[in-house]
Amino acid sequence: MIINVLWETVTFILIMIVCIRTVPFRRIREAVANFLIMQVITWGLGTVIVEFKWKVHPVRMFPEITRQDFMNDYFIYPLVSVLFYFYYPRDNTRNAKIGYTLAWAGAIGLWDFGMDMLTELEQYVHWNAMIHFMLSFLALLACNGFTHWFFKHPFPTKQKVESYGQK
Amino acid sequence: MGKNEYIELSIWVVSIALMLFFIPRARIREAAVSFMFTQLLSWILGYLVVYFGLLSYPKHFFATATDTSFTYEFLAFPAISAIMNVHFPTGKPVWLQIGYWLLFPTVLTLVEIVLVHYTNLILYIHWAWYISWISIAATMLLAFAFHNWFVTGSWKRPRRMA
Repeated sequence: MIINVLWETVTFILIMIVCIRTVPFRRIREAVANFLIMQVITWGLGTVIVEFKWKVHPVRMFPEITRQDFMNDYFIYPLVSVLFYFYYPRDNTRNAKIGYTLAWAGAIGLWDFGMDMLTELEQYVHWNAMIHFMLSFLALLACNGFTHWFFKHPFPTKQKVESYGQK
Repeated sequence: MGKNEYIELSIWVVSIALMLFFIPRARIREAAVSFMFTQLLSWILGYLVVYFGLLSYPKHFFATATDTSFTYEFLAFPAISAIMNVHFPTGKPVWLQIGYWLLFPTVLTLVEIVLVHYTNLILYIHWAWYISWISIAATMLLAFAFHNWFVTGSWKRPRRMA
């Protein structure tokens, strides 16, 4: 079905365009770190989810060798996490931060639910949009927190270069 | 649980223990970024070698989810790569640096040869030990260059020591 291909390509291209326009080159390390930590989460969780057949992906990349949705877990969720990090209202009130995170998790939940309803890219077995919403909420906050901690002392620094090689 | 499962479980234990033992607290961020970047490479490369039928993993964890070796690609290889990058002998003689870099793929390949011969964890189809060695060495070198770029701003091997 054409909708499967359309769904994946449109999502990927849109997110790629927004990412390229959002991330300034001098902050590329933050984007990379956030992308990578989200990949760790999606790889681990995605594997567990399909191992226990909580979700199935009838149409997917590399269908012969994996049951996991490689496209989403390798590219789309990590890129979404990068965008979440870059637009996070760091100087705003606590309520604004919670509302912001809820909105992103809600959008991801809806997107995933739409994928379940409209396409063959995934089907919920023991899963629902609410679990997806809550997991997205936690994962986005975790990646955001990790990246924030990671760049408390920015990379690359002069001090870091000088102490390089010492334990 | 049979022999294969015990060996695979012991790989988890050994990898985590090695990371806890060899990665100093002060350099945990460097180690994390090496670890995660190696995962990015090993995830897709691991898929490709199985997809093209070069290797297969007859017994492995998460057999329903994937046909690739989750243990090796998610944990063991990134852990070794992170340890290598963090302890690279900067400022030492060049022969020592080259020897250090060659040591890691050699040890990993030796372990792999043992696993091929004595367990069902890995099976060579259109593959040989030297292809393993070359691919591991190349991936680690790429991860090392990325680590250097991330930490020092230049992908080249850092020359001086404070």
